[in-house]
Amino acid sequence: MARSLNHPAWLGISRAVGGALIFSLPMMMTMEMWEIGFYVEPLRLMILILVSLPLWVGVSSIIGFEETKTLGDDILDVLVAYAIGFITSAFVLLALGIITSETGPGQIFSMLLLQSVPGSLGALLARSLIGSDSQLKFEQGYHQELIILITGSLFLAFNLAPTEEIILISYKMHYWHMFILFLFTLTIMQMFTLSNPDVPSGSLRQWRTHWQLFVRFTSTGYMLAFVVSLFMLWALGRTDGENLGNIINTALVLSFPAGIGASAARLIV
Amino acid sequence: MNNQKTATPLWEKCVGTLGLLLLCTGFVYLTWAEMTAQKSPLHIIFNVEKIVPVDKQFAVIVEVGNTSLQSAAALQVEAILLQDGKEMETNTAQIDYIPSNSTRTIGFFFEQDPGLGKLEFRALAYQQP
Repeated sequence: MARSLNHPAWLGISRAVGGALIFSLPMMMTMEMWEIGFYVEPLRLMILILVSLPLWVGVSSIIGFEETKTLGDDILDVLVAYAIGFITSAFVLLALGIITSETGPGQIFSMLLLQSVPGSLGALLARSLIGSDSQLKFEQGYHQELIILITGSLFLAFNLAPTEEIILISYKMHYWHMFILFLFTLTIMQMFTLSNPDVPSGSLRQWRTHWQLFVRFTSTGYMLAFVVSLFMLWALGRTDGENLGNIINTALVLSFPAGIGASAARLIV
Repeated sequence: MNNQKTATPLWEKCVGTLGLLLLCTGFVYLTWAEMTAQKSPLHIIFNVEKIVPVDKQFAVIVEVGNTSLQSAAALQVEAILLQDGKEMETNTAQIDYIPSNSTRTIGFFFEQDPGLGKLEFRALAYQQP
């Protein structure tokens, strides 16, 4: 396993703690997230963690908190990120009085496992969140761009999926609200896509470029954001007892921030 | 850019190993929890911690425990003060959330001194989270 000597490793760990805090503090200070940590179905939490692992390895290979070079380095970074996410969450939840002597050990463990998912992503993103040497390597391949899109959508979906408001908003909206929100989300996403510095401004005079970018990033990003939204709602038990129409409506509402997160991923990370 | 490489620091390997252990323990725990969850009915126990006079009332501080493997939301509990088998006073309280194998401390206010009678508690209703 090889490491760059550009930065001491402890600096990477410090950044990881900071990233874990920045990314997961809103969730650690959200009441619904504590409760979900108590009653989340173990199988769903396990699937959430299992899904996150390969995704995080992909994230680590692009923007991890060390300049990783091998798959082994990326896996180690993800494990370090999980440990840091777990420990950081434990300290914060203890300090906030969320974890007390009245909380059962199993519930503490479940809550910390749940909180360590966004915390570990924050740890991995720390380099670009806090560090000054953020360099996303978008030229490395389309699949890595898709990882960035998923990461960006997770960034916002994880913040909002646990809240009651997402479900309440979906109840208040009519179908034409949904349609307008869908078009609005795509428009905002396309604006973020077009404003990417990697897109040569001269090529934007051609509609073909707009269409290509729409298909390549915006529509794909929206589809990924919708899938991420559905998955997050399911994993956090937000689809239980709802009919298919309500589930789709809620996922469409969550896809609004998730889609913006996907298309703005380069700005966020 | 400096391309010089070095081995992964020992402490980073240690933290990574800790992460691996946490994840493995987590999977084992979650598998066990999945296999045992919801198989036992909700079981609520009560334990009077203390009775404190407050102005003209008496505050009964009670530790409510959920000894089952399932969590409960909006748990309504009732405290009944009995004297000579007769119901003298009744109080209810709601606990927003009580996870499995956890406790919550609540208080009931009684007009009469609970020390002179007998206190009984029971769970009335709850929601599945």
